[in-house]
Amino acid sequence: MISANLIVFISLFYVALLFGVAWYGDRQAKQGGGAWLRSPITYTLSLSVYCTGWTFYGAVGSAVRNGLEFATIYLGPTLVFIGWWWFIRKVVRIGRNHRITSIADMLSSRFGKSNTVAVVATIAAVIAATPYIALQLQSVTLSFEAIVGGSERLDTTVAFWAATGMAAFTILFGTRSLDENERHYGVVAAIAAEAVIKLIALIAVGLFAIYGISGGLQDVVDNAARALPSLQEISPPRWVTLLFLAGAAIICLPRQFHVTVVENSSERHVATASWLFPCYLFLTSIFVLPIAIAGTSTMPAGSNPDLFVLTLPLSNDNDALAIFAFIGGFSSATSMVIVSTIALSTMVSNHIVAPLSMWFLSQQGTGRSGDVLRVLLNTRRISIGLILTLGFVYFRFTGGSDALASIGLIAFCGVAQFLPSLVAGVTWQGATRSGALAGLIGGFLVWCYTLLLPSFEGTLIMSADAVAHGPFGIEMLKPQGLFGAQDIDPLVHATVWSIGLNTVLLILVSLATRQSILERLQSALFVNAFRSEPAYAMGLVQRSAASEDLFILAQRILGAGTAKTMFDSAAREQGKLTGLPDATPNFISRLEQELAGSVGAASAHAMVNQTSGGGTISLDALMEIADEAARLMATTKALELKSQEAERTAAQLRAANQRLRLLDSQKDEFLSQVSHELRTPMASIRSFAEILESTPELDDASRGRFAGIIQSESVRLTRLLNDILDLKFLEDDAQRIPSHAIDAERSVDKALEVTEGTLADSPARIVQGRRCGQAQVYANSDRLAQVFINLLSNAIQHNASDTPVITVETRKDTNTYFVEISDNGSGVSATDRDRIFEKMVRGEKSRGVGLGLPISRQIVRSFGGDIELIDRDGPGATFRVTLPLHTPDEAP
Amino acid sequence: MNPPGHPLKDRAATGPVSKEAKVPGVKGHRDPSKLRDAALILPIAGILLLMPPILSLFETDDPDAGGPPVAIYVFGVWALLICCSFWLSRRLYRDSDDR
Repeated sequence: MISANLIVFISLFYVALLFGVAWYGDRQAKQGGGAWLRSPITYTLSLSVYCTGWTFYGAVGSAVRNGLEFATIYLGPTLVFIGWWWFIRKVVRIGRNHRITSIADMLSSRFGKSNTVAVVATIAAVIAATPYIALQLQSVTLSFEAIVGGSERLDTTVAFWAATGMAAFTILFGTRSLDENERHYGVVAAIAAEAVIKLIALIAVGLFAIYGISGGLQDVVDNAARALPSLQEISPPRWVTLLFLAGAAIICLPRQFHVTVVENSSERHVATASWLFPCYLFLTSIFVLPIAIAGTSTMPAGSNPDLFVLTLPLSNDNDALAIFAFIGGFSSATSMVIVSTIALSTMVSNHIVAPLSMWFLSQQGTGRSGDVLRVLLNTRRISIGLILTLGFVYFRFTGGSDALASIGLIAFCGVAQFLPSLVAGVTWQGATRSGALAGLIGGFLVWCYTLLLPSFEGTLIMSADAVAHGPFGIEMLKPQGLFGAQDIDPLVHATVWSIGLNTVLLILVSLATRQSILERLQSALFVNAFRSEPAYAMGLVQRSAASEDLFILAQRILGAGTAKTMFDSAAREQGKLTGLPDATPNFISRLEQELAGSVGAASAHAMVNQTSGGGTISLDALMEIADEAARLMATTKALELKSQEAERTAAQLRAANQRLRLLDSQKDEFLSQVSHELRTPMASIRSFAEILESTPELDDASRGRFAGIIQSESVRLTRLLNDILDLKFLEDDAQRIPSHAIDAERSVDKALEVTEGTLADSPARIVQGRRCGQAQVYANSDRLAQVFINLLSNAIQHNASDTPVITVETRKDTNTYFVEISDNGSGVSATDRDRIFEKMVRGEKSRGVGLGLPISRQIVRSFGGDIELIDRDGPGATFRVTLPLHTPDEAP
Repeated sequence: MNPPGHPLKDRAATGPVSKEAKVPGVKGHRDPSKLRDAALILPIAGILLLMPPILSLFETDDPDAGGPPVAIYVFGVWALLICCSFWLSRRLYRDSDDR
């Protein structure tokens, strides 16, 4: 048995140590040192104020009673923190931009700096925190009783002195000054130290349970199912509800909001906390299990599982460990109470007392420097005392008989009422002040009715009978079974109804009401926190005031020194060397924000407006900000369309470019072939001309022969050039060949005549096959004759046979005229078939330029017909010309 | 028309970041927007993995089961989530334009 005096002495010593750490932290911060105070590790450790006496003692109790369910309380925050990028980061950014001092301030600032919202949220937070603070007092009392072996009856004097001590510490370190950023380095240092102590204490007890009591890790695992059958299964509704409540609590609990958002000095710390804090929770939870298993296996039946952390070492005569565990539990409880009361007293003083005191002091008519500051600091000190008193009273009322976990869950469900407004506030611009108020009040009242009042078990407002059977015996209104619900877990029941009603009211009322202009501005700034610059919004509110009045106001709230520093720096920024800065709208807004860091957005707004006589918001500028998101979206959309269009154009350009390249290469090929073709006759002309010139003794016969060659080559050259010109002309102006209704058969006759004339001394002969006699087409007779001449001379020239025979046949059907010219030569080889109609392509073994066929085809096509090489039995090639027949009444 | 301190300024501030943006899909390179998507997926995956329908797969009423499978599963998922968050937050943090 450990003597009470020893425990009291150790506790006092520990508290003194805590004071020392806090004092050292404060001093370091004031001297500008203490980088460790602003490190991500300290930040994460301060977050672990989440693990209170409930965790330290209650988690084991919860594991014994409900199995794995205890883990949800730590899994919920884990899920929220690993999703930090989407929610916590945004809330932290908003908190920094708007100098948010508490969760009530956050909601009030978002919903038009409304003091009503702030007051409602403050009252809700205080009421919800009361059972939670009582829980800490209960855990300290329980542990004290257990360790000194006191009576079964809970001694309230222990709770009383614990509450007094915590109040003293908080008042000393939590309300020394109204920091402009509402940061308390000393307190953070102390709770970080406590976080380490409680974790080590719990791990120590856990290791003792594994290796000192059970037979090692393997034994614990093997025994787990037998010792704690509840570990094997979960209750789905409670599991989901608890995950949700714990996830909401990690940001909505006033103290968590305080350490996460208000005390945050860098967004980067959140990144570290996103894995380090879940890690802390994981370690805490995993060591709960061996303690619970060892406790149920070895402790006598009927012992309180909430105290296994303490009674396990005690019953195994390990007093030192028991004392260490006691200090761990004490740490958990004190750190929670300290931060909670700081957060709550800030809310009470900023949102309830500050507006009252401003009014009161303005009635007095005297404005002394720092008077508001003093009133607020005193208010905070008094509120800290009051809040702890409330907790103490609740503890006495409920008799502290409940399991620790169930008391904590009542508080969780209470603060979760902030969640709908908070989430909507930072994600939905349309959420209005009325919507938030309706949701908050509705949800909160349902919570009071279904969860808080029944927890008093008939000692407050509702009688036990009313709790069991509904007020006035109306079963439908039974607090734990609304509308006749039966056999439903009270916590699940209360959560579903309160959060459900809260959300529905928030949405419906928001849709039905309109936002004030200031609300619109704030909602845009909150929802677009990552896009909009708060500095830009500063100049939006058009207000004017005398600089002197503003200075007096600042002095009253911030104190003379801080106010002077701020005004001096503003004056320097405006380029003034002495005197007060000009009271530009920008400066007034900046001052309001500075004041908001001390007294909350709503109070600061009211105070500054009192001095500057209200103000107007430039609507145009507001619209610009409010529609920022919409505009950005429209711009993005437009850009997207433009880029699609650009892409299409680029594709077209690419295709055109490819075609041009192809044409370009064809042109190059064409030119090189043409020049080659031109060079051959030119070369022979030149060489024969040179011979004629240089050898005058040449005989007449040779001279005549050479001149003949020169002449024939010149003719060939001319023809070639004509062909090229023809081709050019046809390609440019295919449609402009003057055409008339003509008889195509006459053109064939003409071609035959001309060709036969050239055949005089050649073995070749032309056979006329079947002719159709007369065919009316719409064409140019000369050009058409040229085509037939071309085809005939091709057939003769390229005919390898000894006695070339060319056959010409014509026929027509209802609307087409056919001319087939075939020869008995070797035909067109398969490789040439596809290419002979291209420019400058000849058959493999032939001479000539190779422009004839392309030109002919071009001409015939311009008349609407075509030339093709057709397959036929037997040797030789057959070219078929088709032309549409012309009916006289039909216009061309 | 961008007055000083215009909201778009923040966008412009991401300039140097996008310069660092790596080619997506290439091994060893990162795409910040993919990381942000992963940061959104992670808590959702966590919630799904910890929902009763999946947990019930691990429930058993055998008293001699030894280490309860559902407890091992829950703590395993938990540890996995912490590892992913550790990995993600360090990278997101490097890519973010926060102060």
